[in-house]
Parts: sequence; C-alpha cells; structure tokens
Amino acid sequence: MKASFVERTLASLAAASDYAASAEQLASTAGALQRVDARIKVAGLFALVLAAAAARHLPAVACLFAAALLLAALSRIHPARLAAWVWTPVLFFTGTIALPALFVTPGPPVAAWGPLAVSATGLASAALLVARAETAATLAALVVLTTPWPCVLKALRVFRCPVLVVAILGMTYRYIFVILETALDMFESRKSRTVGVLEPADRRRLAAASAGVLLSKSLQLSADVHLAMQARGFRGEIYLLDDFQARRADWCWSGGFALLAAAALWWGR
Amino acid sequence: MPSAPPPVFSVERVSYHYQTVTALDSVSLTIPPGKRLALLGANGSGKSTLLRLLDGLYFPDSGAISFQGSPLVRERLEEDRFAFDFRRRVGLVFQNPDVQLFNPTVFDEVAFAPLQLRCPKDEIVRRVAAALDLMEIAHLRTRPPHRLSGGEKKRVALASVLVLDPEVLLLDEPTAALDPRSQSQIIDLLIGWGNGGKTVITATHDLGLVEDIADYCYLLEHGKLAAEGSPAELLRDQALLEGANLIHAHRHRHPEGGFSHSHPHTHPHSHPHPHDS
Repeated sequence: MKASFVERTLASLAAASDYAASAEQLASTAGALQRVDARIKVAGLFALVLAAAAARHLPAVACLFAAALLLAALSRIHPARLAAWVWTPVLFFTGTIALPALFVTPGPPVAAWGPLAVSATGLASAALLVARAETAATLAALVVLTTPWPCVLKALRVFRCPVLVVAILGMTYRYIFVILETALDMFESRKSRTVGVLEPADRRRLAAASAGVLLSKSLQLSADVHLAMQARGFRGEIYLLDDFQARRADWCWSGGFALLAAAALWWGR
Repeated sequence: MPSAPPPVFSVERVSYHYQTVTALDSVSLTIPPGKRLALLGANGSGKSTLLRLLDGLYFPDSGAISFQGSPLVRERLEEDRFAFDFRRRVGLVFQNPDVQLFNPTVFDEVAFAPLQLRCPKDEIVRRVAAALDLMEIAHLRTRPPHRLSGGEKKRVALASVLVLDPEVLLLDEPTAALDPRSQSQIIDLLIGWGNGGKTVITATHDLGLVEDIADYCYLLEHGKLAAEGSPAELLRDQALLEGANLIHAHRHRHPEGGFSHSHPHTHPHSHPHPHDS
C-alpha cells in the first residue's frame, strides 16, 4: 500500500535522525582513524582531498580512492554504508554533470547509439571527474564519520577558521536536532488525526503550513537562544577552549598523510 | 552602627508589554540579599518576563529596576565592566533547557560562561570540573546535549550557570517536565547550594515546591502583584490560590451516587471519598 505524504515525511525525518545517530556511533567506535588527533586527521585528509582534486591521471586518483577504502576498513566503516551515504549520491550528481562530456568531447568513438557517440576522450574526462568527486567525498566522509562533530569544529578553529563560522556550524548542528524533533512531533500529531490518504492539494497545504510553523518556532527559538547566550556573558564575540593533545602516533599519522598526498601529487601531475 | 546592605533588586512600578499584550503591570517589589524567594503564578502571569527583566535581558517599558542600588538599564549593560560584573554575579536558568544548551558538548556548555567572561584557562577547567561534580554529571562531559534525557539537560543547564558561583540565582520553573526523582534531586541541590548565603529567586506554579525552596513569596496574577507573604500564609489562602489558578481542582466520582464533582485538593468536606481508604 502506498505510504501517505505524512508517513513519508515521518520516515524521512526518522531517517535523518538515525543517520546522525549512526555517524555519532561510528565516531566513538575503536577504529584506526578514530584514535587520531582531530587536528591531524582534518589536516591530513584535507591534504589528500587537495591531492585528489589536483591529480590529472586516473590511476593516481584510483590509488587515493584505494587508500580511502583501506582507511575506512581500518576504521570499521562498512563499504555498504559508504555506498549508501556517499558513493550513490555523489555518482548521481557528478554523473549528471559529467554525462554531456561523454558525447560532446571530440575524440575517437568507443560506442555509438544512432547519432550519439561516446568518445574515448569524453569517457576518460568523465571517469576522472567522477573518480575525483568520489575520492574527495569519501575522504571528507572519513573525517565526519570518525570524529565527533565538536572535535571537527575545534580542529577547524585551530586552523584559524573564523570563530563566528565555527560557532554557527556548531549551533546549526545542535539545533537541527531540536527542530527535527519539533517537526517529528508535528507530523506525528497530524498523523494521529488523519484518516486515509490526503489529496495533493491538501498535502501541499499541509507542507506549506508545517514549514511556516517550523520557521516561526525556529525564529522564536533563535531569539531565546540569543537571550540565553547574553545571560551568560555573550557580548558579540565567542571564545572557545582548545584542549587538544597530540601523541607520537598522531605525528606518525601526520607523516603518512603528508607522504601519501605528496606521492599522489607527484604521480598525478 | 553599620548600614544595612542595599537590596539585591528593587523593582519600582515596572510595566512590560509584548506588542499589545501586557505582561507586567506596575509591579513593585524588593528582594533583600541572601533570601530565597518564590514568584508564584499560573501560566502567563508574568513570572518569566519578570525574571528576564531582573536578568537585564529585557528592559521595562515604564518604571525602574535597580541591582544593588545601581540602575539596571540598557546603557549600563552595554559597558563591559558593568556587564561582566553583573553576569558574573547573577545567573538565570531558563525553563526550556534546549534554549540554554547551544554548545556541541556538555563540557563546552558549562565552560561557555567563564570563557565569555575571560577567565584563565586553568580556572575554567577547574570550575567546569567542580560544576560537573556538583551536578553529578561528570560522566556526560563529552556528550552532545541533544542526546541527553530531560533530567540530564536540566542538570547541565544548572551546571552551566552555577559554574560561575553567582551570588543571585534566577530559576524559571526549575522542575518543570522532570520525573519525581529528578525533581527531588534538583530541590535538594537548591536547598543545599551556597550554604544558604545566596539569593535564589524561583518562578514556579508548583505549590508543592514552595515551602522547600522559598522563605518568602510573591504571587503574580495577570501581570499584577496579587499578594505576598510567607509560604505558609499564602498556601493557607485557598480563595487567593484558586483565584490565581494555582490549586488543583480535584474531580472524582462518588461510588454510591455515581456523580462527579470538583473541589480544592485539601478536601475540606467531611464526606468520605474513595481515595481516603
């Protein structure tokens, strides 16, 4: 039986919450990357992302992708999770962008369907673009999935990311859950009073009304949060406490990341 | 002969409006130092608004508030020196802990106030550890607030204010939406906090708490000060409490007659009830 609009919305909200819970659980698992100092991990994986973006040869990008897979396995992240959370959506979006290149890039044809011909050069360009995007997204996902979000934020601060940006990111992550809970409550309460499947016009009306109410509640919440910050001494500038302590193993990881990034850059130049 | 210390807060004919709605109407009261006071009133009576005015978050439309003899006005709170001193000495715990818990972890939450007040790092770490121990939540220090239960959130919210060891504590419905055990633990903490030397102002509509947490009460009704007195005096006045929507109207059924009726919870009637046995 086809699920109603309200049921589908509830399922999406629950899935979003589950996704966040799973990511937090993974970050606290005893894996290889989970043990690495957040600053070194953020800097090292960011260097690998840059190397993947700069590499001009597919084998170099493929090696970085293989390294990302190895790191994921050592960090107890199952490939099925990466496939669902990262690879499929990235393939969809990047593939959509790369698709025209298959046909419009001049070069020797490798396959043809009537007037449409896929060129070897186009195929290589599209493969390189998709491979870069998949590798970069996998490496970025490794940071998020193996590091508690607060540590990611603090690491960003260590790298001189403006404190306002870090504070906004932190509060956004914090209040997404409050608003998600509010939305879930609203839709559950609507479901408890709804019989049958809503007409399209009613679904649109319900979606618009819910969005309006959520926006209004969010505005009220933001005003109250600002008051709560003022009440505890906030004067327009946020101060954070940096309490990282790198160990010898962290510096080894740092060297490993640097070597891998340098090798990929040299090979892929 | 030494002069008496000035009142912590002096509120003189204060009115406040939310657009066209009157939240407070010409309220006057004085809060002496070291007292435990309760602001009683039903929902919408103006308790939370009064607490926010006392904390310098809102400013009166008319009338005046002073803190230890100094006017509590917007201009003064814009001065760093006065603002830091005031925020260090007065703490407000909001009714909804989600409003107050905006940091990524419990540790960061409790460290927020001392950080904003530019305390040295060592002192912050020491103060946070002490506040977490006081509230018995040291095991939650790395947890994100959205993964905590209601009782845990309330404790974190309290710790995030008590970390500064304020002289004046303003509490907005501190036990709202808590299970009985969490309520009892928070009341015990408030009774013991500061060894009785602090000023504690609690806004509540829970009459069960009042005798435990207050020496003196103000009763607000529709934004006006309706009565004041000791907890015992106010709790005795059934008509006053009923008029302010503060007492339970207990509806129940009589087994022999099969009809139901309501009356105040103290059961002044002499006829037997099913729950008396």
